[in-house]
Amino acid sequence: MSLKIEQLTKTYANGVKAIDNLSIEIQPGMFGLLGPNGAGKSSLMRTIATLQTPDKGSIRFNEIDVLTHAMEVRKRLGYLPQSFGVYPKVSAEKLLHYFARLKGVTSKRERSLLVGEVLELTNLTHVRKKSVSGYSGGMKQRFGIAQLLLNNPPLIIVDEPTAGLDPAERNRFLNVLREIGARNTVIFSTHLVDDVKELCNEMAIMNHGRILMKANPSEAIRQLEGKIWIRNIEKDALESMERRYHVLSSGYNEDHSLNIRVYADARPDTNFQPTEANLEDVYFTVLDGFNVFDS
Amino acid sequence: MFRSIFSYEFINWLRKPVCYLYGLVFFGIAFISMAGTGGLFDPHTPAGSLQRFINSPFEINFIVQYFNKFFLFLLPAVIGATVYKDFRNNTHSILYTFPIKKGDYFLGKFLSSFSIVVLITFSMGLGMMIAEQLPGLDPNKVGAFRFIGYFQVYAAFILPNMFCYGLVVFCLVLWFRNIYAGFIGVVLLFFLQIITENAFDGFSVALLDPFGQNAAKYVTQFWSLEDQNTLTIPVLGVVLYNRLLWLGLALLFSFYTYKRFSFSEHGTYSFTLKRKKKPVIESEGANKKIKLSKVRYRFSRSHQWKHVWQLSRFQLSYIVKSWMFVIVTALGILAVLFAIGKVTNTNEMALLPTTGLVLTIPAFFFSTIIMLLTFIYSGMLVHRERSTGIDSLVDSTPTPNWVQMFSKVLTLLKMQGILLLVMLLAGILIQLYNGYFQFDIGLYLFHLYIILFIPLLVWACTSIFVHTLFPNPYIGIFILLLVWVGVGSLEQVGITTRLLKFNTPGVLAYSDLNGYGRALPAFFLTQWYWLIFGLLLLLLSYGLWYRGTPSSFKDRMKQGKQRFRGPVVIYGSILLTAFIAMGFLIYDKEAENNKGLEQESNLVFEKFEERFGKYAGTLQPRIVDVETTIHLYPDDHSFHMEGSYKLINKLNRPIDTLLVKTGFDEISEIDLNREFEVVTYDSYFKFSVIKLGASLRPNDSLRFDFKVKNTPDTFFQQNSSVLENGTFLMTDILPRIGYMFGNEKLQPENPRALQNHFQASDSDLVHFKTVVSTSEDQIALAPGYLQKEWMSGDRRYFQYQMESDIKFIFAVNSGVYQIGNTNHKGIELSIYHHKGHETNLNAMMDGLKAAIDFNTALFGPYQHREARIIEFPMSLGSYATTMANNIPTSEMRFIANTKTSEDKIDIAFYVSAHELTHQWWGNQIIPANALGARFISESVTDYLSFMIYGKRYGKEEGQRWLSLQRQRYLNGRTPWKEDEPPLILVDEQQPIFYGKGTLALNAMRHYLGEVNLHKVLNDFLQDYKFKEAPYPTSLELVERLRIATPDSLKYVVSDLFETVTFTEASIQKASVSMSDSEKYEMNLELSVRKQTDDTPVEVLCQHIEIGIYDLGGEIIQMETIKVTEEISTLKIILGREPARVVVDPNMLLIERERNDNEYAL
Repeated sequence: MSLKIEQLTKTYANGVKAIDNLSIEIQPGMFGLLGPNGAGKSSLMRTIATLQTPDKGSIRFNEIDVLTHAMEVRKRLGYLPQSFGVYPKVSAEKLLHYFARLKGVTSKRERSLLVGEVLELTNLTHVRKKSVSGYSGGMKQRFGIAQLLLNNPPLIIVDEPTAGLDPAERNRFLNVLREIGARNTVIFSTHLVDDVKELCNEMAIMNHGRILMKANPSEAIRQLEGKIWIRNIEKDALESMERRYHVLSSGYNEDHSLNIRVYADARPDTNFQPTEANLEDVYFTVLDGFNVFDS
Repeated sequence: MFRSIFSYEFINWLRKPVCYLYGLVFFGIAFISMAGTGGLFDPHTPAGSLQRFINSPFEINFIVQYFNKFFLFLLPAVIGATVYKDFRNNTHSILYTFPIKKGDYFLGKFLSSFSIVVLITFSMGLGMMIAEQLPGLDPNKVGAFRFIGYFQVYAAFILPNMFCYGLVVFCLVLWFRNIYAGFIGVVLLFFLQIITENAFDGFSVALLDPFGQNAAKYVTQFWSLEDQNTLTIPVLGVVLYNRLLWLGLALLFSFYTYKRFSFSEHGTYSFTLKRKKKPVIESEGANKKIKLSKVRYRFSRSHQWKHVWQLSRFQLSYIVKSWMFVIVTALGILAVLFAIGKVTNTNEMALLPTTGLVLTIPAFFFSTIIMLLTFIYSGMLVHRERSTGIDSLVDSTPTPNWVQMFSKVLTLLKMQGILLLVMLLAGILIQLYNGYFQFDIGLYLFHLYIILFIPLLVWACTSIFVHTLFPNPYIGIFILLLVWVGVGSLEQVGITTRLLKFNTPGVLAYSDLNGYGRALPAFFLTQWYWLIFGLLLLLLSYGLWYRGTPSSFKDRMKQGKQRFRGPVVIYGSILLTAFIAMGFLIYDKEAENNKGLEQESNLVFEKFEERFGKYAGTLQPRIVDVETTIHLYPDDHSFHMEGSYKLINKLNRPIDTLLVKTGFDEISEIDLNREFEVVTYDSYFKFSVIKLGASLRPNDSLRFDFKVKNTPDTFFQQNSSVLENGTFLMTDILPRIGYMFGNEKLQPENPRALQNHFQASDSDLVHFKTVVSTSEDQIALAPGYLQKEWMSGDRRYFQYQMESDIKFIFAVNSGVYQIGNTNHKGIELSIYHHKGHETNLNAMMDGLKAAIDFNTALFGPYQHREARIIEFPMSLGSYATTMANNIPTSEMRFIANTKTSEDKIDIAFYVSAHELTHQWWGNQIIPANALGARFISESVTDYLSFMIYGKRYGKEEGQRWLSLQRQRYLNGRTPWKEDEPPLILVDEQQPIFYGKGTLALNAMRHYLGEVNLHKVLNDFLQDYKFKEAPYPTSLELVERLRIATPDSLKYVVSDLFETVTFTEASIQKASVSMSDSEKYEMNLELSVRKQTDDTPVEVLCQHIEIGIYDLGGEIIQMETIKVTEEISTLKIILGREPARVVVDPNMLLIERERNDNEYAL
């Protein structure tokens, strides 16, 4: 049960190289794909989801060649794109029946059973008769999960599912995802570090179409232990600090002063206090190009 | 703000290539059609002949109005798209929060896109302007360049239409937030026009036509060709009112929309029938841990086909459950009902709504609408996933492309099927409404679901393909329209082969007697060919089917190549092989039509005249005796016959050359009972010049034997006139004697004209005898009385012989007939008719009887012992004709509706009375072959039939009949190329010899008195009864009429018969006052204007009738006054209070405008 991607390359017609000679192997469990906007996450996920063909490279899922046997992959695939629309004025229940049919559930009895279950699982049963176009963002995302579950897929791809959700909705959504992630390969892309922290046992950081790092989140954090330093500065001083130190991130305090987090092997000076490393530090360290992790 | 929105949108459009594509297409179409009708591809007409100018304002209006319909599709494609893109890209949610004034948004968007549409429409005018300057056009067809024509049609029609309906489309898209609403709105406008055209006529349709097309038609309806070539269309009057009406309505609608429109994120109306849902409120709930049940996932072929069906149900509910579809269907039913109403109520007669009639024109028109909806809805279906954004979910499911594609094709077919069902129900509804209960369900199903459905099926495949190919639905719809129009105009550029005429089977005519005739095999072969082509297109669509997010067309091509594997390749090769094979078959079958007129017909005639013209004056013997044996084989559509003529030299010198023309479509052999030699033979016209071994001396006779059989039918071409049922063979299959080309009628003054009668130039009256055999279930009929009938094997034989001599114009009929019989005063009357066509038998019989009574009393006895009406299929025509004692009558007259025809006449009665009257006028007295012959044979007959009709139905009905005849004349006189002839010189112009003839003779009846007129007629008839040459002419009849006319009225004879004179009388003013002693004094101002041959003439002494009526419509007084000036005033004292005064109430004047003849007081 693994997804193996080798030397995948995709250049769009406008010249943008979305995926650049990318290779990665993903094992069952929750896999987080972290990266800034425009890193190529969605392109990669669309390619795995058979919606887009690469120029080069191969993808195999459990010995199925994704590129040549798309239909076989689709039978095993649950995909939730970054954004999607629905037919207007069609209820969730009806739409799920429609998707169940598309996914090969031909018996009406079985379909009803299944649709009932996924509605229950995603906590949408009470609004099943309402049209999905009237759903709030979180409900719509959960509907996306519901449709994705219909074929009981061993491979699940969710592309930035928490974007735009309020904290409560996000929690509910992540709970659902956690529930299904236990049994399957779930690839989960996000630009929010917290999502990965809460959910994933494996992660990769991606930028410019390349995988910069692949690791276990807590393992990655551990590798940074003792190398992250914090200091309080005036906001005008940020620029000079950035010139002098590897500033990973900065955050305002109530008095409009800034806390900056700096990566350094040793304490840069006495104004810096040692602090505990977190996943965000990992993320920025990787994006800034420090090759401190052995993946 | 307005300026920036306007210029942003305007420039944005100018940057789009599609804009130029639209313009180029219209330019090209205009250019080609103008050059084509201008004769660029055809040989030119002889110098100096009067032709229709292609660039007269009238013609420009005609052409551009036609294209107006296609311009209308630009409205959603450009104006609609300009609004819609804000919704599609969801920019409206951002845009609407900007501080844009509603008015600026509205106007900026509308005016910018409207300007683009206007620019595109100009390309058409430009194309025409350039094309009319082309060298190589027929100079007779091109008048001087006149800008005013272009200016007019744009200013009065195109621009107002684009503005009005642009606004409507703009608003529809704004209401529904759906681009297709705009397209369907355009189709609805078409419906509206069809409904107005069919529901109203005259001024009302001119006023109510949404596009103003009928307004232009109305104001030019009485234009002669000369007028059409020279005048400009009068736009003041009804055209203006029409424009103002629709402009007003469009503005009202858009103003309302503007008021109701708000910058909100949600649309005002939804496209679907269900009401808008309230946003859903979230309720808390804990996650339940549920393990999903095990269900079966099945992907077998059979399950997938089931899936196709289920998916199409889902898609169909989306189409059907929308307001637009409901409105389209409702208006569609209305339009069909009105169209059926129109077909069954022609100007001349009302018809029963037989299934065959309902299914031909109305159903064909409706299938065209279904085709347009297919163009639109296919776009909606193909682009549906992508336009809603659900595509990435759907595309990642394991449903194969072919399932998706077929489900959409199937959805279209279901939609078409539903609309055809609507057509079926509308047909039955109107049949029920008319109390007609012979619904032929089998025919309904066959015609709707096979004949009309196959072409729709091909369109469905084509639409799916075009919309798959083009990512933009408006371009797709436009391309489809272009294909449709383009194929329709292939013939204009000379392409006639079925191999290229994509999916255009045309209207298949149906007759209850003969079904579809022989059209079906050709229809099926051609349609199968296109159906296979359609399937090939589907295969290509499968290759190009959108799945996922291909980044370029190249990507899609790459995908497509990958999809052409395994079974797809096999299917593809099978289809391609079948397509090519059928193409060869069609090619082969078309090549059999060796008789196709390879040469332009004008040229063929010219060549012939060059070669044989010298024989034109060659004197010939005349046929006096005809004997034939004809064998008809209805099942094989064939016949063969033997026969012989006896020819006599009636001249006083010997004849040594015989000219023989045999049937054009037949294979004939001839033999003479003396030595002869064929000197020359023209195989195209089947004309031979024969040299007699020994010349034929005066009064000597010659036996002329012949054998004739039909040329076998080819697959696509019918050469034989024998039908499966209802055969109607005429004398054109027989060999004829003499030079018969360019045999135009001579001037009546020409003494040569008197030598031949108007229906045969090789014989006077002949003795006739025949034997006809046919299949055992049919009855064969020929002139004469049945001598013997017998069976031999499975063939049925009939022997007929005529006791008195008849004209050489007769027919042989054969069919499965029912017979209605009666005996009237010793004359056997029978009607041979198709089973089921009984409705009008009594009326027909009554017509025969009434004509016998009326004419016998006036002109002496009917010359035969029998009269038979024989039905023939409507595919051969809608007329009735008299041939000896037989009256072949079209099926059309048998299904005439005499019950509900309030404003129609009892056509069944009238036609049989008319035809029987021909036994006296046409068969007893036979006019010479000169201009004016039809005045004697038809005008008099029609006048007498009018008298018979009035006798039966009363004076008022008679009067109505007259006004119909008047309308027939005025409507019909428009198109003549030559100047309109007066009655005395009438040739084959039906509106003149029927319409004007009846009016004129009826006027004479008033002026001379009925007894006097009828005496003139009777004297004339008696003098020429059954006489051979010299035959009488119209000159003599008119002269006889003049002699019988008092001097003071002699001008009438000239006005009515010898010139084309219009006498327009009108009441300018009228007032009434009470004088003392209960008397009323009425003062009138009367205007009388006269015009002869288009030039005004002085009113010297004109007798005018004035009728004064009371409130109840009773006549108070009828005055005949003598008018000597254009304007005259008069005073009339009345005993009762008048309510209405009418000038010329009896229609004695030939007037163009009678609306001003009445004055209500």
